[in-house]
Amino acid sequence: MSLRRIHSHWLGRIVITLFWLGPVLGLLGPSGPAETEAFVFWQLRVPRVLSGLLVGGTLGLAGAVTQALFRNPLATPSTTGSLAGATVGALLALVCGLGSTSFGLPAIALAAFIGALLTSGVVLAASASGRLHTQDVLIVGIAVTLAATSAATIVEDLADTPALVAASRWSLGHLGQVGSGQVRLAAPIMAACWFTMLTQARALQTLVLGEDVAHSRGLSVRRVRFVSLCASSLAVATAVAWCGPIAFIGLIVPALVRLAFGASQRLVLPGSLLTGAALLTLCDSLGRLMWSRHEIPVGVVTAALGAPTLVALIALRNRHT
Amino acid sequence: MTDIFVDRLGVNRGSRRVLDEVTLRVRPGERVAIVGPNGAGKTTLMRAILGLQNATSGRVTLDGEPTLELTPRQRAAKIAWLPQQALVDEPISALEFVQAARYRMHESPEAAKVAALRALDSVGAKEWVERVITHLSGGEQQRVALAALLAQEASALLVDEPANHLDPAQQVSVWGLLSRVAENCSIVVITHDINLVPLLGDVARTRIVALRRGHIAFDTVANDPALPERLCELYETQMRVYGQDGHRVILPCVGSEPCP
Repeated sequence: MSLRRIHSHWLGRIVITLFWLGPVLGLLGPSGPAETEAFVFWQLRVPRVLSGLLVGGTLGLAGAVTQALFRNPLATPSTTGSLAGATVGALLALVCGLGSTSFGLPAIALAAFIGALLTSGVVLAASASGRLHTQDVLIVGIAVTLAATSAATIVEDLADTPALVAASRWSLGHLGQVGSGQVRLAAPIMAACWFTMLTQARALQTLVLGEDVAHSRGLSVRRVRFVSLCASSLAVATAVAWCGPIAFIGLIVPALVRLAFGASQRLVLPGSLLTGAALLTLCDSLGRLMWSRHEIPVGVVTAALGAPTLVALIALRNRHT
Repeated sequence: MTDIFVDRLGVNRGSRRVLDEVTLRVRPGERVAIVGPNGAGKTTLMRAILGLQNATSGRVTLDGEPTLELTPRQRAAKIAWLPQQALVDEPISALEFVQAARYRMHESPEAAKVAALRALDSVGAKEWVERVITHLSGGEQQRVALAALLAQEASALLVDEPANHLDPAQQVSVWGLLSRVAENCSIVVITHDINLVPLLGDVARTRIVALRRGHIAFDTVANDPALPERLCELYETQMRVYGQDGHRVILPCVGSEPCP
């Protein structure tokens, strides 16, 4: 192993370790009266850090699974159309002026969840077909995303100004909108999806050999594809419904984990789960603490940090290939 | 050991008939080299045996069971495949690559690692265990690919041009290894180099099956005296024979010399 590669490994590991400052920073804030501080700590900061860990872990893990499945480092959890579907759902809820809650759940979150499931459903149906190769499923995902984006534009065209402003806020991504009740609701769904995705590590490692070779090694490619996409789509739909679309976590986290720990899926999947959790919490804490007068939405922070990080990761990867 | 039976197999690709009524039996323990011009249908035949290619007519059975009715794990226990492009672009180690060949086994990661190390050791590749596979030379990569073939512990091996792009020394080394890897199983090898076939073992028992335009052109043994003439017709080019039976070398020649 070259010295340069070892340096890249250690650089990646140090950066990932520093991300864990995120949950600590997330619990910090200006002090006030004792009773107010206890309320803010337990009712606002703790659920927010927990939702950051849940959503970040989901996006990181789903990103790693999607990239392994499509054998494409540019594939992201939104490749299955869930992000675009959620946006259409949220916009429709705003335009139709749905009440703040439906069936005891926030109306926008519920509509976004349904939208994400509908679009992901089309991609899952394509994936269940034995006639399509995995790369064809990726193309179906891109087509569904484009169609949903076009539908979102039409809905936006019909929306009035307050609905547009609300939609714009939702689309920036915000962990603050998740309360402890919602964390309790989303956590079991996400945990079940995490477990399912983590159990696919051996199959995804075999899939690295290529679809045909993996098939000859005994892997049912269709089954792995369907199970992995089901779990990642459901987890991402849940995450996006609560927090809005959050970019770059699913793209850069698996790349960073591969740089730090190698390409074995047994390390990449759990590593992406933990790193995504820490990174999103860090981005949210930075957005909250960076500017005292106004909170910067976490989606803006992840996009601002994600773009240069991605370029740096590509440069580091190219140094030793 | 696996009994492979290709029964009147037909495969169409678009309007083109790639394989037409091909019948071939590879009995347990047999060694078969498949030869033929480019586009004759050799790789398609191999993919059909693996269940990767849908047949238009006919069928393939493994130990009497249609290959398409077997689960991927059942099929992987019967046949292992080494394609022309066996390796990956991902920066995984040689050990991880060979370990992935153990997928069909229900075993712990530790047991898979022990088996993969044993396979790498038996092809003389143990020293590259931790090396990233994309950083190995062509010959080293092919040894690792053979270790993966061995690690799968299937009872028949399908190998597609194993020494493609290798220098002469590496070609001999890889074919020698292939012969050792296939000691206890049947083997079907696609090759363009007829002179490497004797390295598989006893020439009197090694079969040469020739495909031409989707049909079996001939099915003979490697020491058939008429083989040069048959190859001449198969490739539609002149061949010259050097040496004598058992140690003969058959090479295409330039010019208009008659077939031997």
